[in-house]
Amino acid sequence: MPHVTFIHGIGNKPEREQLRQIWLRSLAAAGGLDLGAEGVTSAMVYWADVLHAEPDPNVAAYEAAALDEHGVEADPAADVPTADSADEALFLAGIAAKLGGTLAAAELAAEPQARGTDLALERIPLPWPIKKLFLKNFLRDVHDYLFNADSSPRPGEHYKVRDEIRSRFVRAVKDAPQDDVHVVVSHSMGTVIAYDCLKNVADCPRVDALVTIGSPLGLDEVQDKLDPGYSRRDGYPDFRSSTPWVNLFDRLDPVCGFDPILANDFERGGVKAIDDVQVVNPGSWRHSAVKYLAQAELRTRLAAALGL
Amino acid sequence: MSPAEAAAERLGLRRRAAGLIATLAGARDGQAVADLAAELRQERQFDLLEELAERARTLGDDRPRISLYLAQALIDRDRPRLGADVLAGLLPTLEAGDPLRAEALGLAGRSWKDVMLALPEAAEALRQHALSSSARSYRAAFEESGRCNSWAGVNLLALAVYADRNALPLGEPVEIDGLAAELCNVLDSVAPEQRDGWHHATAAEVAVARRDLADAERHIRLYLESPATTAFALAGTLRQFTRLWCLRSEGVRGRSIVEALEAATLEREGGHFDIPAAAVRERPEEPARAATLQAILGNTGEVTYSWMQMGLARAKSVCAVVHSTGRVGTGFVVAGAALDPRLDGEKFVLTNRHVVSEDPGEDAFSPDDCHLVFEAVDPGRKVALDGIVWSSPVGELDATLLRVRWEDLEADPLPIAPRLPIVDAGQRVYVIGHPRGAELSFSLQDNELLEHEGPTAGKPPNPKVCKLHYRAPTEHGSSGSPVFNRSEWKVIALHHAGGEMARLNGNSGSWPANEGIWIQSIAKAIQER
Repeated sequence: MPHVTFIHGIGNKPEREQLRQIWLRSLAAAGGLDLGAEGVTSAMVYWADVLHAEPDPNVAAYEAAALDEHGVEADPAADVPTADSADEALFLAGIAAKLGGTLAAAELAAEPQARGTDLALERIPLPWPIKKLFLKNFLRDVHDYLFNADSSPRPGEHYKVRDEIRSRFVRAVKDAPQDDVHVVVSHSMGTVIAYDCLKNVADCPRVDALVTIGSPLGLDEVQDKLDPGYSRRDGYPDFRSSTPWVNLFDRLDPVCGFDPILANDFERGGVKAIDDVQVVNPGSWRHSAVKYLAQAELRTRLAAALGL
Repeated sequence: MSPAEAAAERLGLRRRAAGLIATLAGARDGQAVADLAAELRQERQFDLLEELAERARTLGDDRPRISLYLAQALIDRDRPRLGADVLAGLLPTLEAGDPLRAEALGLAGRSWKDVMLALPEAAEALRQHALSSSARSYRAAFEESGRCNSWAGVNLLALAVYADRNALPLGEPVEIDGLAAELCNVLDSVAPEQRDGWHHATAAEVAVARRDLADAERHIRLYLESPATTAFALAGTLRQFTRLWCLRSEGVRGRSIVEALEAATLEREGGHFDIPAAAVRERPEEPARAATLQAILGNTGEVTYSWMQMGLARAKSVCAVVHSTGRVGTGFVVAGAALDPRLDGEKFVLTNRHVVSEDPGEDAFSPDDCHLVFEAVDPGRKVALDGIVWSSPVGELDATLLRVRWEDLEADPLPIAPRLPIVDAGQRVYVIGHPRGAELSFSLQDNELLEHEGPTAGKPPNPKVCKLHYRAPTEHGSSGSPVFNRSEWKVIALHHAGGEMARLNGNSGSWPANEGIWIQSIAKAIQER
C-alpha cells in the first residue's frame, strides 16, 4: 500500500492527528488528491511538542488559509535564540539577513544577545508585528534544530532538539509499509529535518521520493550545518526509485524566496536532478503549508510519485 | 463521532426499538412509545417507526401523534396512498387550531402529491384526483394558519403552476401571481432570527414562480450554507424542483440550478438523488452555466460539478439485468484485462450470483432467461447474454461475470481501483444502481465507509473474500451495483447485500450496513480459476 510521511514546519501546531487530517483535507479539497480514497496511508512526523508546551488549540484558524494573519505560523511567546558562540551568531545573522533584511542582520551581528529586534520583509504586505513574530519563530526553530539545543517544553521533559526530532523521523520512516511506494512530503523546517535524516542518518531507510515545499534548504547557512553528508556536488540523497525530488516554491514566500532553486545546490554527482517548480500561492502570506498543498503542480507530481 | 460510532449508536436505537416492539403490552408503555418514536423519526429509521406505530395502534394506542408517525413512516417508505388513508381517518378527529392538525394537513398534502407524481401520465383521472386532494390539503393548512404557513402556501403555489403547465384542473382555482406576491410578503416579514431551516428553500420556490432565477440562486446559496440543511432535506428540495417545478426543462439557467443542487446533494454526507435514465442519456453537452454554479456552490462550484458529471458519465456503463418478470438486478461493464490478463481484449458485465446463476438449484435467474438494458445508452435495446465466464457462490464472492453480445452498443468499461480507501475520518463511497420502483432511474448515493477487510489492517475470516461495509441513511442499493471511491469514481466493490449485517474482520455482533465485495478479491479469484 503506498504511503506518505508528512513532516510539518516551524511554529506551534494543532495536535498530530488534527494536523494530519488538515493536510489530507488540503490536498483533497476542490477536486484534489484524496489520498484516503486512493488507498494511500499516511503519517505525520510531529515535533511541535518538542518546543511547545501545548498543541495550538486554534485548529480552524490554522486551516483557514484565507485568513492570512492566522496563517502565519508564529508563537507569540517566541524569542530570538541566544547565540552562545560566534558560529551561532553568524548563523542567526545570516539567516536573518536573508529573511528579514539587512537592518536586522546588522543588529543581530552586532549584538548576539539581542532580543526582539525589528526585522522587516518589505515585499510582504503584512503588519510589522506579525513579520517580526514569524522571524523570531523561524530563527528559534531552525537554530534549535541545527545546533541541537536543549529544550524543556514541559516540566520534567528534556530534549536535545535535533536528536529527538531525528529519532522521530527515522522511526516514522521505519514504521511505514516497506512493500510499496513511500514518499515524504515536507514543509518549511520539516524539509531540513527530512533532508538531514535521509542524507545524514545512517539507519534511516531510503524512501522513494521527497517533496519539499517552502524550503529554506537553499540558504548557505542551513546547508553549512547539514554536514557530513551535504556537498553541492553530491548533496542529493539516495532514493529507492528514480522519481525526482520535487521542490515547490513561491518567490514571495519569505522562507524560500531568497534562494528558492535547489537543483544547483543539491546535485547528484555534479548533475542537477531536482525538479524545482514555481507556484504562486494566494493572499499575502505565501508560506502556508495548506496553500502549497492546494497547488495542482504539487498534487499532480505527488500522484505520479505514488503511482496513482 | 466516527462513522463506526454513529453506526453503533443507530444500531443501539434500532435494538431498543425492536425490543420495545416485541414486548409492547398496551397503554402503560405510552410514554416509552412516544419517546422512542420521536427518536426513530429524528434518525429517519422509518421501517421501525412504522412497525412501532402500527403495533401501538393495534394495542389500542389511538393518540393522534402515533397515527401521524405511522402516516409519515408510510409516506417516507414510498407508500403515500396508505399514508393518505391513515391521515383521512385522523383529520376529522383534530380540532382547528390544534398544531397536530396543521402537521396532518401538510402530510396529507405531501402524500397526495407523491401519489400524483408516482402515477403514469396515462392515468389522468387518478392524477387529477391526487392533484386536487393535495391542493385541498395544502390550501386548508395555509388558510387555517391565517395564510402565514409559507411551506403550505408554496406547495399550493407549486401545484397551481404544475396544474397550469399540464392543463390539469386544480379544483378551486389559484391566482398564481397574486399568491407568489403574497408569499413574498409573508417570507419577508419573518425576522432573520426567526427563520426556520426551510425559509430560503421556500423563498427560492417563490422566486422560481416569479421567474426570477437570479433570486432563486441567491436563496439556494443561503439554503445550502445553513447547517440545518441536511442531505435528506436537500434531496426533498431537489425532488420538488425537478418533479413539480420541472426546472430541468426551464432553459439552461433552470437546468443549471438543478445540476448545481444535484452536485451539492451528492457532495454532502449521506446525500443521494435519483435521476431519470433519460436525464442521464439526454444530458446536454453544453455544461451548466458557470455563473449559476458559482452563485450556488461558491468558488469551487465548477470543480464540484465536473466531479458529479464524471459520476453521471459512469452511469452509462451501469445496466439493468432484466427477466421476463421485470428488472431483477444491476450490473456494470468491466474490461477483461482489469480482472485477468487472459481476458484482455474483451469487455464483460459483472453482477451478483444471486441475480444470475446457471445452477437451477439456486434462487437466481438463468442467463438464458435474462437480458441487459443500458438505460442511459439505449433503453429500447435488449442486450443478449452469451453465457457465464466465471461465477462464485453467494456465500463467497457472490459474483457472476457475464459474456455479452455487444454488437455496436457503446458502453465503456468502468475504471477499477487497485486499492480500497483507508478507513479514516469521513471516507465515503458512492453506489450507482437502479432503485426499486417502477420508474427507470439511477440512484446516486453517498455512503459512509464503516470498515473493510482489505489491506493493511483487514483480517478477513476467509482470506479470499474481502468485504466492505458502508452505510447510507436510506436504503436504495440494488444487487450488482458498482461501488465507487470518491476521488475519481473508480470501482472498488460489487454491492451485494444490505440490512443487518454481521460485523467484518471476525468481530462479533452485527449492525445496519450495506455490504460489498472488494473488486480485487474478485479479480484474484478469476485469475486463480
